[in-house]
Amino acid sequence: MDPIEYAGPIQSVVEWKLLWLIPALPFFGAAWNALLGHWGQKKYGHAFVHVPAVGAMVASFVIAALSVVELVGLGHGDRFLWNPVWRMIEIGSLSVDLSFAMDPLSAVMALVVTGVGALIHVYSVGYMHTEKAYWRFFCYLNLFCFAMLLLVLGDNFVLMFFGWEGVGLCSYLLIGFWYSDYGKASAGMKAFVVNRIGDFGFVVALGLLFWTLGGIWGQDGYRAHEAPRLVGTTVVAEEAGPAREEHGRHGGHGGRTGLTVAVYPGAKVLVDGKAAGRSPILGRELTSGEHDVELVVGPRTSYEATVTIEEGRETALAVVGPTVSFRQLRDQMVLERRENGESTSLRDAFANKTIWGVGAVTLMCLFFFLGATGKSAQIPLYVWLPDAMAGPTPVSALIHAATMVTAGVYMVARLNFLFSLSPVAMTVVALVGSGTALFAATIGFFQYDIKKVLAYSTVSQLGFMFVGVGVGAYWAGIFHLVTHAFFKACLFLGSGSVIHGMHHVEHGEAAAQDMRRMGGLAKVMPRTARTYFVACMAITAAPVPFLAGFWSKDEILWKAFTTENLLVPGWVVWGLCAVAAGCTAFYMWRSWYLTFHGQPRAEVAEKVKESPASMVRVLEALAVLSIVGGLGLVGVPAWAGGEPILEQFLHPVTALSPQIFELGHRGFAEHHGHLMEIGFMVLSVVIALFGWQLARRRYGTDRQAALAWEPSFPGHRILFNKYFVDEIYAKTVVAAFMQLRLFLGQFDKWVIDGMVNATSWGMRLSAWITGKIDEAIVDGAVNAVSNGTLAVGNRLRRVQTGRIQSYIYGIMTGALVLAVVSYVVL
Amino acid sequence: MIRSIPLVLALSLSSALAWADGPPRIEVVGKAPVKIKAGGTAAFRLANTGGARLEISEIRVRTSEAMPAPAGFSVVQDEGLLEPLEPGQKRTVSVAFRPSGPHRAKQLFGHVEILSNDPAHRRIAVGVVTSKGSLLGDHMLSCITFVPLAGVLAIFLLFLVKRSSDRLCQIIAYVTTAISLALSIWLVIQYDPGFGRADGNAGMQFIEHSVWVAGFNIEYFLGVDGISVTMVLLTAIISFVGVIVSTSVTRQVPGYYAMYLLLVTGMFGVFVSLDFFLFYVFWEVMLLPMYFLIGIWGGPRKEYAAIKFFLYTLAGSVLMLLALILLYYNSEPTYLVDGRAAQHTFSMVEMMLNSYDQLGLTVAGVSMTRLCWVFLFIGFAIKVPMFPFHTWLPDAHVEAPTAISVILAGVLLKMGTYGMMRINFAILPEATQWAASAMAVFGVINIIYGAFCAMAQEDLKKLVAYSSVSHMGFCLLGLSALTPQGMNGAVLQMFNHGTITAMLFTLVGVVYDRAHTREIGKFGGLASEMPLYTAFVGLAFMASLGLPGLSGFISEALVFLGSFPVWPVATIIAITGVIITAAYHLWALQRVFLGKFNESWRKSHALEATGGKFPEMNLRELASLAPLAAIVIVLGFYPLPILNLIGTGLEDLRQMVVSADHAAVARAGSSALDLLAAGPR
Repeated sequence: MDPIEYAGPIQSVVEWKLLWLIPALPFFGAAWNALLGHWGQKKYGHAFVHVPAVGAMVASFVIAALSVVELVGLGHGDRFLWNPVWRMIEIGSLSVDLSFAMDPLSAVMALVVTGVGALIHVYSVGYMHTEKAYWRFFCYLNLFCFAMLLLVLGDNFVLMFFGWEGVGLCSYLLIGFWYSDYGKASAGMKAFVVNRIGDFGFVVALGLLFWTLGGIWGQDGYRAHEAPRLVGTTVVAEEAGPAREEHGRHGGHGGRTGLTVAVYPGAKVLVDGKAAGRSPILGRELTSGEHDVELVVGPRTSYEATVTIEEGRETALAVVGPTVSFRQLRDQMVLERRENGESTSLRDAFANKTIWGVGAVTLMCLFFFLGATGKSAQIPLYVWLPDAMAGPTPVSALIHAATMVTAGVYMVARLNFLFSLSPVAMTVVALVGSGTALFAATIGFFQYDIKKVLAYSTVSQLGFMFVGVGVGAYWAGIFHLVTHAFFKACLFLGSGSVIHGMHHVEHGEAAAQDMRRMGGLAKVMPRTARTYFVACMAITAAPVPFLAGFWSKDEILWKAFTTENLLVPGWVVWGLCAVAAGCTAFYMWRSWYLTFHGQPRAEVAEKVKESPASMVRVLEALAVLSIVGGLGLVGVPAWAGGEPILEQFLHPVTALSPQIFELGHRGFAEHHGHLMEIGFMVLSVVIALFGWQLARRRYGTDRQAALAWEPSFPGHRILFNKYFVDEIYAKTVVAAFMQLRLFLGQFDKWVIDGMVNATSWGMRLSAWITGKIDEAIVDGAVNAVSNGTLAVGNRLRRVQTGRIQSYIYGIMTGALVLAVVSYVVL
Repeated sequence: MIRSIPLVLALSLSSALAWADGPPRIEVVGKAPVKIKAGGTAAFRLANTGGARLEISEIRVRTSEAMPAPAGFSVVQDEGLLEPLEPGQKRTVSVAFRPSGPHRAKQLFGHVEILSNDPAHRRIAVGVVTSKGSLLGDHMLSCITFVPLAGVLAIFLLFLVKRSSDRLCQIIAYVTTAISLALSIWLVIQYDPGFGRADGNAGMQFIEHSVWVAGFNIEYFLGVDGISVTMVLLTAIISFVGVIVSTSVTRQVPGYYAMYLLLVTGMFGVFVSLDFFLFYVFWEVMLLPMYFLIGIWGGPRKEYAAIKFFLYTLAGSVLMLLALILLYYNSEPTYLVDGRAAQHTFSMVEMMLNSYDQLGLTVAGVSMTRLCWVFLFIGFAIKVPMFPFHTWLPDAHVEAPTAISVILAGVLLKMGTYGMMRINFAILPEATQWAASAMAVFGVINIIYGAFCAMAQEDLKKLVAYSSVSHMGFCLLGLSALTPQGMNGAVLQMFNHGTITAMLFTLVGVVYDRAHTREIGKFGGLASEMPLYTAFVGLAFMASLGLPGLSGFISEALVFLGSFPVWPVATIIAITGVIITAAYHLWALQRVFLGKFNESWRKSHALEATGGKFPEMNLRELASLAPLAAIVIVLGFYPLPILNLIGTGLEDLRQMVVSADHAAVARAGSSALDLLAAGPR
């Protein structure tokens, strides 16, 4: 029998030792303020707090940018920077490293997080200036960036989950930043608990994934709970770009004869029994032929593999079996298993696995998506995000618009090869996404709180992103994620600037955010107004298209229309999205007209001033990004014969999905042609213009009349009250939990503990009864015996008379009795 | 055995005929057991004190596949070693202990067996143990265990000579627990994490082995493997922290510390004992001081709580004792450490070698091993505490003084799960497999039920107590899975829960010392009064609800991952616990710390001394919490050192349970996921 061999083009790796600094710098910033901030702020003022905090973010951005430059310099197939730090867990088949990786997807995310993050840090310096707990704010903000970077740079599920819940914690802390307001603190709690429902899904999905992976290897006697198997396999760089050669010095190693060990970082490597250093070892030259490689990973754990080195071929060790690493998971999706000349694809074995009659992949994807609906505020778990607006506005911009809430989209894109395997899961993602997009957009119609409008807008836009990744156009989802980060951060910070100004005339927070009390602010805050205007155009594509949001939204709409990856026709999803896009134009422009348009009230005109330069500059920077961010990432659009830049860049990450689609005869309809694409583009501009016109007609002329008209709109009540979803949840799920806890609390007290106490009472009762019995019967018997003896003695005393006759009678009676007895007995 | 009697009789008869001056008689001259140094040799002398020539057929090191002797322990094959001994003749036999291999045994307890034609003693054994000749070298575990007891004696002597003062007793407690802590850390540093059963000594290290009560085959047998060394470390940390926390005790201080230190000795003893009887003695030793500590220094309903704790645990102990006796009388003959033949044994490592299940014994129609397993399990489950035996815990916690709550939740609960592993799992593997599914179910009930009950509590301390019930459920679930991830998760959870819950109880004590109440509803907005305190509570609560980045998450995640393939449905139900857990922690945090400060406190009697203000944590309180917080954070990101410590010993244990028969393979194979292909090695 031939030995079982594995082969396939697994991911090649380049070591890049700066990566850990990207998350670590914000962490140090957070630690600085956590330990010294309180003291330092009092003693040295605000600069003591914000210089390290902002500095850490800027430095983090610089390193991220450097890393991206490094990444771009590599050939397409080599674009994977890796930086293992230390091993966290090593038990049987489970090996978890604290290690970071940057592939194109992580690179995009890292740039957004550090870039927008740094901008918002700068903005916060102005916005939070009067805050007493200034140090605490920056500590949380830095901590958030640390967690978010952990999420996007972690190279395995565990680190991703560290970040996943870490950002949740920071969100909780920042929503409840003004904790003495009970309502705000409650909003934080709500966010955390609702997110935990999603996290439940994440953990279940991880369990399913881990063990299903173990299961597919079961056939050759592999024991899932034990260590994964090490195998030697080829590394094939997809496209060996020209940069590949020059970057060889960094460890870029494709195409060279030799051995690569990029698994179990830190493990001692023995080649043919001789020490060869510690993993990772990239492209170590070895003579051709068979070699025994041993990795010593723990005090008692070492793994062995036999690899065959061939001339001109790079051989790497791959881990086969259950894994939590994204890279190793992806590698297994491309590995072929060869036995006796037969070749089987692991991906097929994996995709065919069922659990409880359901496809394992489908089930795990749905559970992962449940996690995503929590973090990214989709139906049914979106309810926390509008409440989360209780936090300071920079927080809303950074966490609840630009970064954290997009984590779910990132996750689906990261796991694109899993979702692509399951049309059911993709359909669910696309439908939930498009449903949420429309649903949240309609709620946005008649909100008066400017931040609430933006919150529902965010929920809606996240829905668009999920449509993108759900229909299989992963890059489009990420594209919208990026542009949305620009314009939504700009909108939120703009609203923050407005609220900052409105605080000069309004004292209550609700009043300062109420658009009915605004109006005409463009006159007093021209720069803020300009940026808000630009961002509105960017999100709605009306009246002027070709800003950032136009490109990304249009790409999603087109892909939704042409997709063949779903179980429902693409136009269903497209239809929902198109309507949602029209709604978006309406409510966004409504917010613009209510806030900035017309003449300001006298009080407003007098007291409200433009915000400080540090805030406005940030707004302008984001506005510029909102203008150029779209076309800049596209370059030459597909219908003009180009290939979008971002799509190309992300291609190595999503490259597996098209292959999977093809196998299932899925993909995107090709027969529509560029003309139709342009036609759809025009159509979406028309829809947007329609929404914009609706808003302009109503709110651009007579705002009072428009506000008076609103309640007469059919369905206003249900829209204004957000479909009563919060109330329904409170009456059903929450109430059930609260009742159950009370019931179980009482059950424990009276039934379970009651049984214990009853036992003790029972024992005391039986002790009492025993005592009584002892007194009455046992002791009674003793007494009875003694009394009886005495009594008998008394009686017998009388017998002892001393008279001979009596004795003779007695003797004779006795003899008679004996005679009779003996006669009877014998 | 019985069948061989006529043979033996016939043999002795024929020998008696052959041996005019009586049979040969083998005797070992000198002190037993023979002491040897690692890397050295030692010798003992054999003598023939009989009347005929003694034929020696073999002199060998006692070893078996199940419990191999350490590599390098051998009988020196001198020339003429096996020559016959004439009556009156003596011979020196040398043994060598030159440890070898990647994981060298530092200690040794073993036997040299001598097979001869002595009709009365065809096979005798000579015990060999290592000795370094230094107190710490030979008696590390005894020192850790009994240094606190020395503190008790010191307090008692001071009392006798009427020099006792509160301060002095406190210092004694500090010093003794600090010594134990330092020695425990040294122990962990010295511990070889790769040393396993295959390397000899049943995988135990730091062995101390001598005969205690020869008449009943009871030995003084201490040793640690990965599981117990982790628990020793935990005990040392928690009992030292407990002394810092104890400062708030002001009544009958000498008595308090005497009881406290006695308790500490009992706890260490349980974790290091390898003789079942000794284990039982320590188990009971721990019980009594606990009773007094709750009953004398407790809260308003202290008598009720103390008696409930005492009787409940005692009921468990009785069952354990029954099982102990059953196991003892069904154990196979072996040797005591000095080589004396013993008909039965209390030694746990010897008991592990017995295949009780194959005896096929039944008691009233029920399999003896299963009955024993259930008895032992209930005894330990009460301690865990497992639903429905948990109701002593909230009462005991609410009434116990803070430091005792810390000890109770931090260490005592872990004895339950420790006992299950050390005794149920190791000695009765077949029954463990039989009962694993029930354990999983109880684990899930603990997790969910405990969480809901915690959510229902109004008393902060009761809430924390029920959270312990919930969190110990993870240990049960993880253990029941019998997978490496699940069991490692369970042991790590024991350690992590110990540190986290110690923090929680200390923190509850801090606010109770100020407010003299723990009712959640009476607080509100404490965050603005005590920001530092709030930060610590936040950290501890987050660790307790399993936030990634803090230690609790790692162990919970390992348990989930480990039990998933074996009990998928149960695990998914258990994972919903994370939602409820988050809810009750955050809700409590919300009600106590967030919102507006409850101004009625300004005029409260409790705060009179501080002018209506809640004073921030003092240095002492900080000193008790900061190390625990550091452990919680570091292990959150870097749990590998503790996992490495646990790993080998636990994997050996798991192999013993799983490979006891093939039922495990079958069960795992038929589980819904068909994923875990378990099998004997």
